[in-house]
Amino acid sequence: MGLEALLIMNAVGTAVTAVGQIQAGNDAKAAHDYNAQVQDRNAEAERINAERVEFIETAQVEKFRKNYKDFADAQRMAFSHNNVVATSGSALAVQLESAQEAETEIASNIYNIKLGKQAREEAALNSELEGKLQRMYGKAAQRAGQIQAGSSLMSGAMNAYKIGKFA
Amino acid sequence: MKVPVYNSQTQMATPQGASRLTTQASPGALSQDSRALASFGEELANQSMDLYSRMLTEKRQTELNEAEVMFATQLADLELQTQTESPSVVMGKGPKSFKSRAQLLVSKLAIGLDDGVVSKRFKNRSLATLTNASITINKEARRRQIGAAFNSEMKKVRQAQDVLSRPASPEYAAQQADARLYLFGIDGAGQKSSASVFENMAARGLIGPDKVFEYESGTKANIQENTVRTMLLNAKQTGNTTVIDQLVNNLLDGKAFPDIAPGKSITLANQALTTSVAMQNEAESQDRASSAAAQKEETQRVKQNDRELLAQLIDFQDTGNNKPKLDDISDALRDGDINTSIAKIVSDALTDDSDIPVDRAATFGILNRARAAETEEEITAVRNAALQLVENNKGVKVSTLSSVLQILDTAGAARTSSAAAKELRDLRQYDKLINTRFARDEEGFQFTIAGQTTPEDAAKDQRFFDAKVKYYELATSPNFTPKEAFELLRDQITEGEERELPFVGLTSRFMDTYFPLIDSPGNINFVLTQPAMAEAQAAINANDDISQFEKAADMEQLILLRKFYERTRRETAAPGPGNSIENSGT
Repeated sequence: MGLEALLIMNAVGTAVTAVGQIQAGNDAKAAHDYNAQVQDRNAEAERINAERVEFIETAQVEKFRKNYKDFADAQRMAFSHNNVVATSGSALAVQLESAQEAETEIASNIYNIKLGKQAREEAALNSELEGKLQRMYGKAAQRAGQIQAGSSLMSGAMNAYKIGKFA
Repeated sequence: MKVPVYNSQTQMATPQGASRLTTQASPGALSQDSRALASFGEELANQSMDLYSRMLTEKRQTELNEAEVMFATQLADLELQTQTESPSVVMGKGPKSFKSRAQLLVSKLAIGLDDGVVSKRFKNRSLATLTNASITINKEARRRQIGAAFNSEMKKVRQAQDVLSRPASPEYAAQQADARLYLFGIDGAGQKSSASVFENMAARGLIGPDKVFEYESGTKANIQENTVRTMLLNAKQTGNTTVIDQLVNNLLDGKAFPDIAPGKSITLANQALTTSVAMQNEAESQDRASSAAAQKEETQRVKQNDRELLAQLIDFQDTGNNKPKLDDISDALRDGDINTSIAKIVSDALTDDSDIPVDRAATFGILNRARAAETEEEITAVRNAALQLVENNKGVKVSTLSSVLQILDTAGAARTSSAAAKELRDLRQYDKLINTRFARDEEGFQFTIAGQTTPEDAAKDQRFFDAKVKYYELATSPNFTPKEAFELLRDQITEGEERELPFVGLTSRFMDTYFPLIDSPGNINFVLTQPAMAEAQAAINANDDISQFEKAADMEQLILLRKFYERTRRETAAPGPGNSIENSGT
């Protein structure tokens, strides 16, 4: 086997190394892109969950409101039935206290709705950020493959040059 | 009264809301496959890079090692090359300096490397190698530079030393004053007025300061030693042993030559004594050699006179001309110019006309002994024996004596002269060839059956004897070499055999011209008569187609024939004039 053939083999090997490294970078990027898409979908799902929680909990508050109204009506009716003037005195105070309790209950529910929505939205944001990070990883892996390929090409050429000069 | 009122009865259920989704996608789990893919790629890159690093390191190390080995080799070659180059060029900064050329080597090798990192590393590492090599080379070049300067200065020192070693004389006074000032800084008044050459050399770093005294002392000792040797040589040349004796005394005294070490003084004194003894021995040897040379020259002169006198006698006996005078012989004998035996032989030959028969055995014997003689004792013995034989008329002719003396002289000279040695070898070689020609062994002996000797055998023996004697006469004469004598005789032997003559000395041309063969019934070979010989003599004299030398040779052959004719006629009961001798073959 001649020296020229060995040089050609070296060049081929170096080229294959470079191609392999570029391909490895691309493959890693594809994997990261895939992971990013999954995170995107998770973020979207969390946002939908936040909307859904707000809608459902708001409906519960409205239902409570309606239930309490029924309760308040029943209370007044009870007073009235018992001939208690409901608009003054103790009856009124009872009615006011019940109304106050109901309002506190509603305000707490609304507060809890907001907290739940906020938690879902933060989870969505987290997933979105994770997706972005995966894309960045992918790009970095692709660049790393390219740089490694360049490094291999340069190393092969330099080795051949050094041997040619100093062997 | 109570009035009924309707109230609704159904209670609304408690709302539950939308629930949170907890599903989470895990980025780590979803990116596992991608991270696994990245890990795989990373592992692949790491492993391949690790392997790449190891292989690249190995490849670069190998290339670097190879380049460094090559550089080391080329650098070593360059280092070797610079050892013979000028040190100043090698150490300089020019393009031919060692450093420049080494850097060029580095550049060339670095250019050849494809990998820039390897090239850079090679350059960096070669810097250290190059620096070390430069230090070594520069050190070596500096050492050579100092060595060259030292040698150059010492050459001048030796020249000045030689000048001061000469004997003091007005001719050399100026040169010696300059030399003394140069060597020791001492002026003409004997005062030290400047630094000596060795002090200057120490200042230049050519020698250590502690060596100045040693060099100065050594130089002074050398000068005095040279002076002693010069005096010794002059005394030897002039043969003056008195000077040498004085020199020995001065050396042993130690005052005349204070700079020479005592041990060296004794050695020189010994040399002087040895020279003195050798001079005396040489003088005695020269006297002895002169005496021996004079004696040898005298002997040679007497021998030469002997030979000349014998030659004159032989010439006289052959031609009747140039007769030696008895008075001259007497004077020469009195003056010691000739040998007593020769004088007696010649005197006897001149005063006694009787024809002494030739003793073939004695003649063969003395010739063989002369031919075999090698040592001085053998030569002297044979010489005396030959003289005795002739002196006492033992059947050896004067001409044979002359041949014997000449052979012995040649044998004597063969020990110191290559030409004489060759002549002696040739004499012996062609002597053997004559023996072979007559079908005899190397010593001239022939196997015969007792009582079976025929007249043809007797004639053949006679021819053999005649050929041997004639061979030595010709070969020892100044006109013939042994080879020429043999070749001449070979023809004459053949002619003698054809005509069945008991001697040799007749050429085919002579015999065919004046005494042709008769090819007729009765097998008559040729006819020899007085008239035929007279006609032949007249014909020789009248023949203008031949040279005088050939005429003389023909006349000699005719004399031979005439002698043969006369002897044969005496042996055959003296037939009358005109009687013929018929020589017939079988």
